[in-house]
Amino acid sequence: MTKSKPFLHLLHDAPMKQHHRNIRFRPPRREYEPPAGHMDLYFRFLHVYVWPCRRILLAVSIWWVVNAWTPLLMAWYGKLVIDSVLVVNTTSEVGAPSSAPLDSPPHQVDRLPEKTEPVAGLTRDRGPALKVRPVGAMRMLAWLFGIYLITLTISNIGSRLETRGRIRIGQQLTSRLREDLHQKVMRLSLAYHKSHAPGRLMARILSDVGEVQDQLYMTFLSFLSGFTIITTGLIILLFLDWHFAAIALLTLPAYIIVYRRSRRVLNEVNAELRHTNSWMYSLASQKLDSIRAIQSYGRELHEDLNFHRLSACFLRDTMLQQKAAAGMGALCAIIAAIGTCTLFLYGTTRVLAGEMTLGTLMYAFGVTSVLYGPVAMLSQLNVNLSKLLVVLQRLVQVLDEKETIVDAPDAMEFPAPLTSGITLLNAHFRHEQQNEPVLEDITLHIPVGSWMCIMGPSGCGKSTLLHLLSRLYEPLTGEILYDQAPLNRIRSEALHRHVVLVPQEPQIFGGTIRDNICYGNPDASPREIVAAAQAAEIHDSIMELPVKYETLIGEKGMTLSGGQRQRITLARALLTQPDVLLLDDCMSALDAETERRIQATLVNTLKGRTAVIVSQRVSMAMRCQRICVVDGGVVAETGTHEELIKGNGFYARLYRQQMK
Amino acid sequence: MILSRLKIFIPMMSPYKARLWVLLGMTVLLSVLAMLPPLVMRAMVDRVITPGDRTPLFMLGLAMILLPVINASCGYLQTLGITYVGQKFVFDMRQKLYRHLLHLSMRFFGKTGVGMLVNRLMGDTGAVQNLLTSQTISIVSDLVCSAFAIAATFLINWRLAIVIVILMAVFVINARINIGFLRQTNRNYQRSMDRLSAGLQDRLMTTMVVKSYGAEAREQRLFRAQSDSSLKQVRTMQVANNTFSTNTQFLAEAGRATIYFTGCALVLMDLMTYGDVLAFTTYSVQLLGPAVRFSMLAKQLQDVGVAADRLTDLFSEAPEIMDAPNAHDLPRLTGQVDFNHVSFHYNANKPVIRDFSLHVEPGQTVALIGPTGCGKSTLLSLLLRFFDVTDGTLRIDGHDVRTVHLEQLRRQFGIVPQEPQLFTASIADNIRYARPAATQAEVETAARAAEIHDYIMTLPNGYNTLIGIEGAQLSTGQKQRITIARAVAADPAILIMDEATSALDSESEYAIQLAMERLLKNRTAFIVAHRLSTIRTADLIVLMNQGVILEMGRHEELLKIPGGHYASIYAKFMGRGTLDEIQTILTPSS
Repeated sequence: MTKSKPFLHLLHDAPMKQHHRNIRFRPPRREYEPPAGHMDLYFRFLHVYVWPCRRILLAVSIWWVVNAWTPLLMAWYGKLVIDSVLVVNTTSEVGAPSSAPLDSPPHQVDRLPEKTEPVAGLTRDRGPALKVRPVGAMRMLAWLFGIYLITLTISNIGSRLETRGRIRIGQQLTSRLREDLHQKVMRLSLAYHKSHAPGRLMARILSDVGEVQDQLYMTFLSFLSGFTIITTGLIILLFLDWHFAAIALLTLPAYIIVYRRSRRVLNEVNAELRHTNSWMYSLASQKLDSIRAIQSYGRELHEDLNFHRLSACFLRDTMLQQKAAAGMGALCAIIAAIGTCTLFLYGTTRVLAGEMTLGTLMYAFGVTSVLYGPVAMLSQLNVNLSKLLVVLQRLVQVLDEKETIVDAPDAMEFPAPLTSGITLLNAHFRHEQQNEPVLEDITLHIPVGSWMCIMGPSGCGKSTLLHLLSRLYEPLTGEILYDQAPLNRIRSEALHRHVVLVPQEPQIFGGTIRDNICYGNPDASPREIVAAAQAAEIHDSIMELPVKYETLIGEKGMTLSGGQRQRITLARALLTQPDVLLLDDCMSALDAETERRIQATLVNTLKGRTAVIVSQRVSMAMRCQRICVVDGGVVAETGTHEELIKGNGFYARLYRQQMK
Repeated sequence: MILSRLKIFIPMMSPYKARLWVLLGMTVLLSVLAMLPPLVMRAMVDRVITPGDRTPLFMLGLAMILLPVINASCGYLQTLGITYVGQKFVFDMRQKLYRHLLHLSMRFFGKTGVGMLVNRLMGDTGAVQNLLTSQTISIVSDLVCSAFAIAATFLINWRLAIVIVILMAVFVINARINIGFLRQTNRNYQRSMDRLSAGLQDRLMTTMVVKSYGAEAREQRLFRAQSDSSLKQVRTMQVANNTFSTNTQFLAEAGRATIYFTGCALVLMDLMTYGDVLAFTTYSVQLLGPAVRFSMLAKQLQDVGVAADRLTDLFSEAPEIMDAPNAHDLPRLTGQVDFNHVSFHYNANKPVIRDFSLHVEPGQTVALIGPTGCGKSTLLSLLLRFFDVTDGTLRIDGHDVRTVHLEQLRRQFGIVPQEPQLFTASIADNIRYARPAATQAEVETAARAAEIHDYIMTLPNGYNTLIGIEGAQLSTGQKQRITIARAVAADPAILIMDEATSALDSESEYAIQLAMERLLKNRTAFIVAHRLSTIRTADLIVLMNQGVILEMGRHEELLKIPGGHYASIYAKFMGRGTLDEIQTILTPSS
């Protein structure tokens, strides 16, 4: 049974996350390092990316503090209306008006001592209220309305400006961070790119940055505002009646506990959900992409099941998440309601006892309702922060990745034109994750102006050798010299102007054919472009297209056959007129006739230039002055065609086989 | 309109009908419950505090505390119910769609991008689900709430209720005016992000070229320009969003203040009580949300309608190749294949295979040769029934391929395609993909036959090494060998190799050939190849051009045909070892 396990189980070497929930099937996930204690990381990002905008940030922070008081102020206006304008108050006779704790309005003395006949039930009891109303109440009400609107307007304008400021910070931050990442990624070596999927890198540059951009300073701002609201609110409550503050302080911890508990579960489940979701995406796209293999082996049912399991896992997690989230929501709502209602009921008894005005009660009620929001926000703060830190860590992994191939500070120009040639001295190379070296000990001299053909069984390191020559990889030990100049001392920009590699798998950009051919030499004239295309035997096929060289190719454009792609990349290389051309089996998808014609043109166009050519075909090798067979990481044979066929080595056998 | 577009999804809802009705009932109840607290508050102020009457205090206090508790608990249950129904529904829908996709024909996949399909599968299903469950519930809830609130406010004080209605109108108008612009900026933003990410992806996929031309600085400038232009769009969008939200907030706050102060004025005029004012203010806030949601409903439905249409299109895409209703079981094949006057075309005016007849005995190896586009690969697709013949019959072991179970048919083939397709999984699992029951020993034997065992053993985790993204990097040749091993491990009755060894050097190709001959003795094999060494040993060589057979027979027989095509080709290319330029010979002659 273990054999038919779905493919998702197979990340053997990755430490699996231990789940407290017993779900049998679950995509593997690498555990993030706990980001606790990485605050220096946070500060580093703050320093580099937020500090340059410190002025705006300061203004924004001040506004956040000021604005935190607005709801409290609004509640106070309400109190003024009740107590000073409407003078709605209890008609119970208990308690002297003078005992009202605070702000007892002067109008209250006008209150009639005798109790109005309380008409049972619904009747509105306007009698006493009418009598205690202050003179000019309507005018005062209008004034208050005006002030209220003015406060609103100011707050609104302030918020607007503040958001603009924040947008500005966010933009500058994003722009800078993205560019830094992009630059870094471009500088990293080919080995890095081979081991990192482009999708992941893209996620770093686009979505991770997007996530960071607000969070980086918002955590700080929300802390500021939450803190202000809570402290101010509690102080107000304390002044109104210390019992109020006590009630609020008693329910707040319960609220916080519930919130934090469920938040922990929620965060865990959310991470799981996101992960499962991305697995589902990649599973679906991979499988639909290989639909041919699936259908030809009749494995549809199995794949159906695979998807089903993942989907079921997602369903279960969603339910868990909702349970936690809704449970938390309900509990928090209940606690908040109990808190505010207790406060209100307590206040009501005080009002009924005549020890407090209704306005004060409503004021306290309003303030308490405002309190619970920031509490949730504050207790979420550390979670947000740790989430942010995880993202920051991912970014830092890219930003701090060691650039393995960099120009030396005293890098020199490319020694053009070459006089002696290219020399490899005991070059040794091994891929990072692998134990076996690809190239063990290569010593080879390629004289200037000659063509060298590299042959050998597949996987022997031919391509790697070319990558070493164009410094896409660096040998672990040993040396590569262009004339007398060590490769790692040549300025890479200069190197790549003179040494051009045509890779085995042709890479085409989204764009026109012209853009693609011009890539290495954007200023080339149309005549040069046509000449390069002709040399690569692609000109005629291009001219058959409706818009010729302006035809869009790549992701969204026309699809090209493997052979056409190879010829375009060849044209791209020829256009730069390099001193040294490295061809990595770049004609494998061409039929032999076309290849023969290209070879013939190359003999003319590359006359006097140095070329290193990887090929599987004897016909190519026969055109080269020298042939080198690489096997087992060392140079097994080297010499001219005639020399090699006399022996009984790899080349001789290959020759006989292909010529049989 | 929208309902008719959602037609095909309604039956999918039927298993949840009872649950949905319960949920709806619960929603109505909950909405009413949610509207009660303002009334309690009003009673508290008007009946307890103002008259100083303590008698209702206890009951009202109890209601005041209990209402939110009941409300929250019921809300919890309701959320769980909605989530369950909605998620289960989307789960069903996705599964159904995925199954459907798996059975669609090659022709469909030829014209449809995988990325698009994935978006349908993951995104659009969610959108439709959301409309059918949570959206419906929230519409009902909004309806009940607003009806209640409007009724309550009119009952309490009709003058102020009119103010509320006016306020709602202003609010809705504001939303409607702005939302078009917002959607536009949002779309612009999306587009610029798409451009940015497409460009970035393009470059990241082609880093090698960027590096080997030393164009990093140029790319950096390009990226900056793109990033900046995208950020400009972001800014426009954010500013627009911000303007809209602050405006809305201002309107809401100012409206609330208007209600409150007008109410207070009415209190001063003795037309209302303060408790009424409190209730009113709360209701006014609760009414604004639903009002806006209603005014947006049409647009939201439009969006969902698009998603629904796309899904409907996909669902109505019928699989071209299906089991016949009376399809019969297929025993283990011996491998006798019989093409009887087979013709095939994709478009009626462009025949790909014309009147093709070929009889293959069990155990024969058939080499198909011919220039590119002569129909070799199409012929192999017909064999696997990726397409149905348009004329003639194709029998395997005497069974017409159209009359047998598709899966049973395909499982008897071992196919090595031109482009190796590997999955993110261990090497062992990739090899045993066709036959998951294969033992480790069988997997290793297959790997040895494909000459990949030794390489696998050099990897730190051997056969358990994960391949694919984030896994070990394999060269094209290594990938081809793994697909060959997969075909060997499938223990097929018929083997199909379509240029399966093009990325290998001839020495390893030869070794693989020997090993496979040994392992797959007496099995029928169809081979498309261009190396003469492979072709020569075949039992039957079929030389094709433009969909017809030019010549067919054993190597020696074909050579004997005077003036034969094969003979001339062989004479010409003997020295090269491959038949690559066959095209140049045949095209002028036909």
